[in-house]
Amino acid sequence: MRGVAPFLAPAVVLVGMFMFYPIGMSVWMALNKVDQFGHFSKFVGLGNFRDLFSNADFRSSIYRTIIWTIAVVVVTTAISLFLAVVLIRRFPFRAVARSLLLLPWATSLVISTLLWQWIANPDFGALNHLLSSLGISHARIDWLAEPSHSFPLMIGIAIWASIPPTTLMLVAGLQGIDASLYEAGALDGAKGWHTFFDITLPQLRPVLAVTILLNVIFVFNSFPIIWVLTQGGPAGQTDTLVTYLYKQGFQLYQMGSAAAVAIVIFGILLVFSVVHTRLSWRGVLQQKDERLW
Amino acid sequence: MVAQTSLVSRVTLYTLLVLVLGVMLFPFFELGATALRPTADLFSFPPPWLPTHPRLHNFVDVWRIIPLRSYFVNTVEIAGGTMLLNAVAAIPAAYALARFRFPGRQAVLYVVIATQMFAPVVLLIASFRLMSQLGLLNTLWGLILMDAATTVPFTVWMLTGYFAAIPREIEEAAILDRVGRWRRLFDLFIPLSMPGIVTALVFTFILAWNEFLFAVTFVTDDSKRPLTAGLYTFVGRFSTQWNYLMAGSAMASIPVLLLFLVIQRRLIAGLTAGAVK
Repeated sequence: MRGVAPFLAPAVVLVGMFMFYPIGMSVWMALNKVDQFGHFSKFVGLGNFRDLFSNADFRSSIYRTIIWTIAVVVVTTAISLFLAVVLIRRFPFRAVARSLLLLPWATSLVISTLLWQWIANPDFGALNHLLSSLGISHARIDWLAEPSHSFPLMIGIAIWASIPPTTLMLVAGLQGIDASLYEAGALDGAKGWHTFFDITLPQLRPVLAVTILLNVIFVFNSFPIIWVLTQGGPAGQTDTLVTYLYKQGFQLYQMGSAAAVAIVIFGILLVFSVVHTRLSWRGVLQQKDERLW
Repeated sequence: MVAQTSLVSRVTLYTLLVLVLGVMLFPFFELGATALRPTADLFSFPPPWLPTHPRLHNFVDVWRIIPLRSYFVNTVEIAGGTMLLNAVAAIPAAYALARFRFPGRQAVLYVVIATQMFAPVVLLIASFRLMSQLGLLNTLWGLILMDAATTVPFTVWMLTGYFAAIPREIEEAAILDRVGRWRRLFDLFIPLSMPGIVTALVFTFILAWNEFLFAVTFVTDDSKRPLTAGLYTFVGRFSTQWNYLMAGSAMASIPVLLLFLVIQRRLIAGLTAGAVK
């Protein structure tokens, strides 16, 4: 059809130049030695990848990124599901409760993390004070010094930040469920947990699939929480792939190697997205078959 | 699970709800309490839950201590620029995708979805090189272009849905009157989709306002920093003045919170579009 080009041109130029060109360039950079000024010095083929995968720190940051993503997404989904189911009931101050939930979503992750950094201050922070007031622990916990403390704290912050958008999307999903299904269920004598597992959960499946996909992509790529709290330290012990990439690029000035990390990140997410989409679509199709049956 | 739950299980549910909401909101209580503490009280042990001598003047002083004015101006320019560029690029593209039949249309739609996976961090290294070649490091334009490019696919996606939902008959009447495509876009589609357009554009404004990765990487000149990168650098340099940091953070977050309250319903519908009927 004639005349489409002018409508698409601005978007194509913008996205082409600042998204697709960098993606293509990343692939090429990943195959070369590139210095901090972006000068290509030598073609190394898969050399950057070979160096990365032979590095134990890199391998452990892949592992850590996966743990980080799974922990955050699983706990976020579980808590959000609970919140969403409660928040679609009618109760006093429901609108207030929903609006308050926007606070962590609206706040920039950098600001939230700085706030948590202050809360986790070992001497003057509220977290240790709270723990000792509740009689849970009277120790002076230095949250950011030890990876065994800082990594769980980061996971906690990421869960805290992911709950609001997830919950509100699930609420939208729950509101879309046909009320007559519940009426039919009630006639059949379904109650409480049965209604939840037999009606709510299967009906919510498409929305759940979307929120999980968005959360995995978002959490896997999350930079501010870890960077603000520990910069991946001490000694790279809280690095995820994202902070590893950042250090390769802007502290060690190994731009080729950093680009290779970007390609690894992209590859992992691509595989995940394809598998995830396949699985969730297959589920939906099977469901349709059952209904036909 | 509408009405027939027992009193006990209802009490348990709401207790849990209050508990979870308490944890979610506790940091903001702490934000407010710290922002009001005089510097002298900051390091008292044990830390007081509420400031003993609340000092509202922190919210005035902070403008001298942190270059908040310049951070605010830069942030508004970056977020505003990102929003405008989104409007210019995404509205016509979404219209074309929703209303024109052309070869490769389906492929373009797939590409739009696929770009959601191109997280900013994947682009970071090569776009840093591009920015330096274009002389856009340490400029607001560099951040505007990167923020716009990374948000345009989502805006296109959301607006395509809105434009596609407008009934055919409305457009057909205009076609019979020989109204051109651009006229149809401006006189019919944009006015009819205004709520959706505002939601999508305000969302890009918020994303650009909160953006950190590009801001901290491409800008090292403090006079060009937006709020996120500026406040982060402030902590690095003056790690003790948490009261001022909190006062500044609160002010940096309020505009976004208000915008969020306005768009939240439509935004959530847009995010789950396709999954919710």
